[in-house]
Amino acid sequence: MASSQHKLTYGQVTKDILKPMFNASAVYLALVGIAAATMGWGGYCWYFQLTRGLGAAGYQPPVFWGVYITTFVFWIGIGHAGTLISAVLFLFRSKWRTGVYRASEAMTIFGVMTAGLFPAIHVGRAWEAYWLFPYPNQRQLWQNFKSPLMWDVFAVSTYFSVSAIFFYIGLIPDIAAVRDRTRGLINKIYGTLCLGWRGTDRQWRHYMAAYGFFAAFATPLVLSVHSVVSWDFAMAQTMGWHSTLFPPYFVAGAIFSGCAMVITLLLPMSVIFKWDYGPDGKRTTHTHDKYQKQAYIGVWHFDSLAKMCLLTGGILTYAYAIEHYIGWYSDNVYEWGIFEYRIFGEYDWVFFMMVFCNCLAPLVWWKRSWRRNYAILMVVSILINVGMWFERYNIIASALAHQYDPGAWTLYTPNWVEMGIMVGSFGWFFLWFLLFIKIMPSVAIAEVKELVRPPLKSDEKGEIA
Amino acid sequence: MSEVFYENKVQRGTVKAVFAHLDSLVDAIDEIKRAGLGHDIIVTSPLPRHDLEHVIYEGHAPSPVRWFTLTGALFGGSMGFALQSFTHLNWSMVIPAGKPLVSIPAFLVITFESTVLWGCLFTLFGLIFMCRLPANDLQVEVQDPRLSDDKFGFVLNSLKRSEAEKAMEILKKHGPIEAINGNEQEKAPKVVIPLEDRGFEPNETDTDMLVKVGIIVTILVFLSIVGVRSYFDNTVADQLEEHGYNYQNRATAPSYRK
Repeated sequence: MASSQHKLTYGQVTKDILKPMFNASAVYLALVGIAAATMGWGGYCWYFQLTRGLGAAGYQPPVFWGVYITTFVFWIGIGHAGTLISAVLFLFRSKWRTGVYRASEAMTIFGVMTAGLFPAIHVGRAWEAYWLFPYPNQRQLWQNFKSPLMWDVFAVSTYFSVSAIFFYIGLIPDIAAVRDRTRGLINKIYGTLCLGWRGTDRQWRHYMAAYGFFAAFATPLVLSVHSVVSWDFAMAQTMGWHSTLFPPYFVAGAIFSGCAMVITLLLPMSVIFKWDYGPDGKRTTHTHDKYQKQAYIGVWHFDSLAKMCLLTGGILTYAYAIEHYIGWYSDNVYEWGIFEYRIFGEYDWVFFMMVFCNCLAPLVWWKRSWRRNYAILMVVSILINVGMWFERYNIIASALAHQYDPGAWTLYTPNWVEMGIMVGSFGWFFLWFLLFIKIMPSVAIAEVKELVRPPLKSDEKGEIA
Repeated sequence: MSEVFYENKVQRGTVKAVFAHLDSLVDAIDEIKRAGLGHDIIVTSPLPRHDLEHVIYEGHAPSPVRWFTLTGALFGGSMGFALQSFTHLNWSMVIPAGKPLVSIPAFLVITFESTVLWGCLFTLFGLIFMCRLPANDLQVEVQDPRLSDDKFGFVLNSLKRSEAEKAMEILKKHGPIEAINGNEQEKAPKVVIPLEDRGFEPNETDTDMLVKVGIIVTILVFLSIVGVRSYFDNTVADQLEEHGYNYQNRATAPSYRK
């Protein structure tokens, strides 16, 4: 950001990134209020369902997977971009990752936390959700580890644990920086949270080694989690689900929606906190701005995220096409029937919503200047999020409502309890995110400093470094 | 305008230097090591720097954290597979259509997840153990708030009086912003670090504000619940009841089959 010599220094980085912390404007508090109110409404809907039984949800036999599973898959998908950006791009030494990875990781954690609520809501008796985990009991009853639902429990809980460790480890040096700029009780709290980190040579040496291993572990996890989630469907003998295409299709979709959510969250944040300013003190929104790579989170980052969306969106579009082609080419009346139903049946609007938001809308990003236009970025990223929710709804509801026996066909429409919980989950997610940006540094201080040219004596003397 | 105070104390037998420039620090470390004074040094930096690691740990093996990782991954993988196999064999009554009880393809997923989970947990433990975290008891010289911002710290311990003087001589040659010999320090100077105007400590108005916001949010949540519910009761509920959909107290879902 702004400095008189147009050159970013370490001190400036610390100052700029810590600036938005601990103070809350009226707009911020209003947003917290709205998020909390939405969450409260979702909580009420859940209370309504808990007290009246699962019948309060709009399940209509044989559709027992509805909005809850749709929203579960949606939030798990949102959780994919963070670890992709923080781990995979770390191993690829991608520089644009640095500015955005902290907030994306936070998004991952909160996304998975939100997703984790849904299996518990969906099974009805949430207080017995611990039955999902293997624990010794006197009945010697164990889970069926050959069930994809069991794999899912392990995949999601492992993903959450590993992402949370990775997130916390990344935060430690930055919490130490916060500690050193506070006094009193807050200083004590951050001093405890950073585990007494002082950035000594010994600490950094083991830290960097461990960080590499965390990244190496998290990388296959990113690909595995949504593959396992896709097996929840693909392992079943349900038409429209039973396909080997599902794992890559779901992983691409997850990264697609996750990157779009990163844009949706970080764009307003960088504008409000002025993190898209170049070192010359001007906003780096120009197409050819020489400082665009020096803003903490600016057009360059959003441009890269949009390119990521273009790639994964392309894979997704291809997967949609191939899925329907295979359905037709299989010459299996049930298989083709479900795809025909998705396009021409009662759920046609869901299908076309999905195609419009996921396949067509992102195409505008092929034009470079539109990829760097904040308004277009925001609108398209929100459209992608909407589209990805509808994609999961399209997969789940239509396949279950229209299985083999026409006598069992039904039409599933979500009711207010389900929609209330779904909307409430957004409140829960945004509440966590809003709290996060005020109590933790939402850009990685130590890692941004790595991109800044270190202060060198030889520079001041005018020698070549 | 708030400030952070730091007592810049240096113990006897210790020399501390604070550098603003990375290259000066690297040169100083190099020269101190060549002069044979580098037997107990601590270098702190606000960010990881490979050039620092190279000059300090030249000739050292890589960090042993990797052995924790390997152990954890092997433990997790074998434990994950064993858990599934033993629990399935424990309930051998259930033979699913002649398929094997211990099925390698079906067990691979959880084996993989368990490998990753325990690998990470062991790596975390390795990191905490090797860095000796929590490190709240580190010597006072490195507990300097400037060192997490934009300065590099260089602390030399266990020096004899003559060695400390020699070290000071070398350090000063490389232009640190300060170099303190603990043997000569009588009273620790106070370092004042000014902070940004928009302070990091909530003052009374902020606290009042938080209380107010808490109350407003609670009211908002309550009103939204009451409001939306009554809206449903007055609008959607009627329509639902027309369709024989008693949402108030309903045990099973109605059938929409035609």
